[in-house]
Amino acid sequence: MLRRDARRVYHIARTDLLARLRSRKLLAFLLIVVYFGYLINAGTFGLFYSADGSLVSGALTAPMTGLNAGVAGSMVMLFGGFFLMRGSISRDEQHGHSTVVAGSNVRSSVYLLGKLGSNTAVGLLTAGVLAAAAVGNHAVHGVGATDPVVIALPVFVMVVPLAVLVGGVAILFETIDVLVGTLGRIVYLVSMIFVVGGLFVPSGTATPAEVQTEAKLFDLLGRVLAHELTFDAVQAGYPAFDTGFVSFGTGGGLEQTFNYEGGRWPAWFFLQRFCCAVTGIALTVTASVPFARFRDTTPGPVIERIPSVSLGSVLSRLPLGKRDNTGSVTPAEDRPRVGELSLTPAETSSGGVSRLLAVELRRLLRGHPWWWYLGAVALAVGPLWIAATGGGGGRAVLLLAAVWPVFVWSRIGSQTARAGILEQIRASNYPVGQLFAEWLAGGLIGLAVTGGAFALLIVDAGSGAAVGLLGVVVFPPSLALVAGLWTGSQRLFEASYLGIWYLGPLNGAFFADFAGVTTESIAMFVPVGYAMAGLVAVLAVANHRAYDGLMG
Amino acid sequence: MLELKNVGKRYQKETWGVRGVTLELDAGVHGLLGSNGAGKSTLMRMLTTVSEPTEGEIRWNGAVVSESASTVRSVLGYLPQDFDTYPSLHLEEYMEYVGALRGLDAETTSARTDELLRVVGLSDVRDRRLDTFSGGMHQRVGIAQALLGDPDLLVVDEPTVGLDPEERVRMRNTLADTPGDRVVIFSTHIVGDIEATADTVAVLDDGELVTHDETEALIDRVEGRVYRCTVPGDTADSLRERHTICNTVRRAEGFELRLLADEPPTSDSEPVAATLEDAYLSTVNNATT
Repeated sequence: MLRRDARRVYHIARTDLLARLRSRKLLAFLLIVVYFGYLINAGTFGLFYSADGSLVSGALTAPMTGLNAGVAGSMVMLFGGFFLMRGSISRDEQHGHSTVVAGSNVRSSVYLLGKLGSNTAVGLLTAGVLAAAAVGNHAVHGVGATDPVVIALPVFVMVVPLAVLVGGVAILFETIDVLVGTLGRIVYLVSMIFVVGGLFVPSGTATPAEVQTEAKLFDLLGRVLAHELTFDAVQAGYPAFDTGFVSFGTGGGLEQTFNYEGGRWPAWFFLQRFCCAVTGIALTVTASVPFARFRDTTPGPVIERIPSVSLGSVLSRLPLGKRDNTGSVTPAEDRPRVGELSLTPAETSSGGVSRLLAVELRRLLRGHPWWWYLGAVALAVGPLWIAATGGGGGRAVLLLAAVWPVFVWSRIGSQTARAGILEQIRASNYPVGQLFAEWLAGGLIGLAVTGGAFALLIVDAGSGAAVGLLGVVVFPPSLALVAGLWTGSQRLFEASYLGIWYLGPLNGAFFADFAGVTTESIAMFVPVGYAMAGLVAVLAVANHRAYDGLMG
Repeated sequence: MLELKNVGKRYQKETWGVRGVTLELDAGVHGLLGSNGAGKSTLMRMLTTVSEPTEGEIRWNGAVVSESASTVRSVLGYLPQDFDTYPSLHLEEYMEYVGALRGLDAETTSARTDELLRVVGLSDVRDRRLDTFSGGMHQRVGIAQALLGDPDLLVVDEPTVGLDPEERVRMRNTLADTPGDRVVIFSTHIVGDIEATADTVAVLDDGELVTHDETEALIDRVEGRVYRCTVPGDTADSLRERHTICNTVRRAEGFELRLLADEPPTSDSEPVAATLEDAYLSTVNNATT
């Protein structure tokens, strides 16, 4: 029995992995990983401290490179891995394979463990690629001898157990209806921002002995580990070091360095990573409870049907919901034949594009859960009231307002890209007009939701903040349109947009601040740049959509 | 009238989806027959301006389509093979969407939606979300949206896939009932659907047009050459090597074969009335040998 199940797990994992290996998405992800490997060894990305009034990074010895690569791999796995690993169940549903599985005697837990096996293999592959990139780059840019084991081992120890955990979460989210779509992706991202970004990690100063147990328990990124391993080396190089906690990102550099030559890793970290892996497996087994293996897999875009998180769609899954799939509603004998009817002549109108805009607006706004509408109205109107009563909190409101329409934007392009719809549009009177109507509808919704926040920001920070409005209104629907039409999925848009939002507006990296939250981005017209890039991309897509090009 | 002159579509350097198709289609229902991968959908996509021909020319009432795609789009109704809808929309909202895409005014869209939903039997579910529809209901939505703009050129690609027998017959009747002054192109690999509906039949094989003729004329080509006989297993094997077999049924006394032959293949063979399926198999077989 156990052997048979193990064999099933292996084959489900293998098949799923083969499907992934033949997709461009995994390749693109691995290219990003390779790029991270380069950044680490170029000294532009990694662990750094604030010591003696300047920023201090570790000299790129083999142990330091391994540690940097391990933390970078953990970050990539935590944020990018989730988006990559999702979809293994819906992929089977999309291609009709799920009905074969549903009708077989493979237990749900075995099926899901097979999917986890595939996710873990992706983690192994990621770790392998990152380790290889780090070793190769160290040989070129590093300090001292290049020891492949010292560089690669931390990457595998840190990344692979995390892949099991993230893979388990991805599977669990995919089996719970309300978490399958955009809501699940946002919930995950926000949770990770809190866990990784400082909910448990000490702020200010702390010696390794002062770090609390919960910080070690939730050290998914590996910062606590890095702090503990490199603390003595920093103190040795910089006696006035004030025990400030280690940071990870682009803030460092190789002008001021400390020398970390490796050391024994603490036992708590191995235990923590072991717990990560066990938790991932436990979540996967738990996911077999909500996993509905016989859920509706009628032909068509199941991936789009499941993510609808409206109250109605949730209720329709309950026994109370009336769900009639029996086909004929009006008895055949009661229907008139085309020849028996005097059909109304088809009259065309000149206002086609404006009507398209109206129907696109309705399509994008339709079918969201009640709380989304409530939040959108609150974000649109609330800031105006705050601005009228004195202002304050504009940045915080804008951060939320820039994420809220993601539920709407993620429908742009991705729904239209499905072959059966796109062909109807291309064969219609307005193939290009529809594209602009869809894009414009997304921009108008963005304007409605974020306009109040900008009014508040202008009250807080002056009229210069209005530049950001251009970025928020033009860039996201453009990115959604291009990414959605290209991939036919919401995931690329959501992952890239939320990533840029995380780096720019949330964390203040000016080059990614398309919303103009930072003074540097406004001064450098970064939002205008994002808006222009979006516009150019939309024009390129429109040119492709037009039968003989836009200029033809 | 729709004219195709030496139309071809190349996907890769030496891979042609369709090549050298020349056709003239007047008002009426025209069946496009071919096996899976024969190039039917590729041809349909070019007719509907979804993709451009690599070579050749398509004309609608004399106007060259590649020079002005809108000449076809303004008169077109199209049901793609993988017909799909926006799941969050209600049926009526979706029809309004298609009406806007077709440039219809709101009143016309509303009136024609009422009428066409009655025809396809979906009036009672007009305010239901499309993601609650069964496959058959979806396909009926497809034909309603294709007819919404009162098209002069109606192109339907595999419209009967996924329908139960009763709905299949109704779908065929709907196509056959459409007023006679329009060009209807109906693609399928189900020969019975074409036989019951089409005035003319074009047969595609491996991307090339094998024949285009009136349905009856095509059947007449094999009339008198279709036989039925019941034979033991080894004789059946031998007949399979020498003749085109149209059907095989296992009986208690052996295999009942329906086959094409110039002379009675066995002494007890009886001639039977030819069907379009016999004609199609004969045409395709002749093209490949």
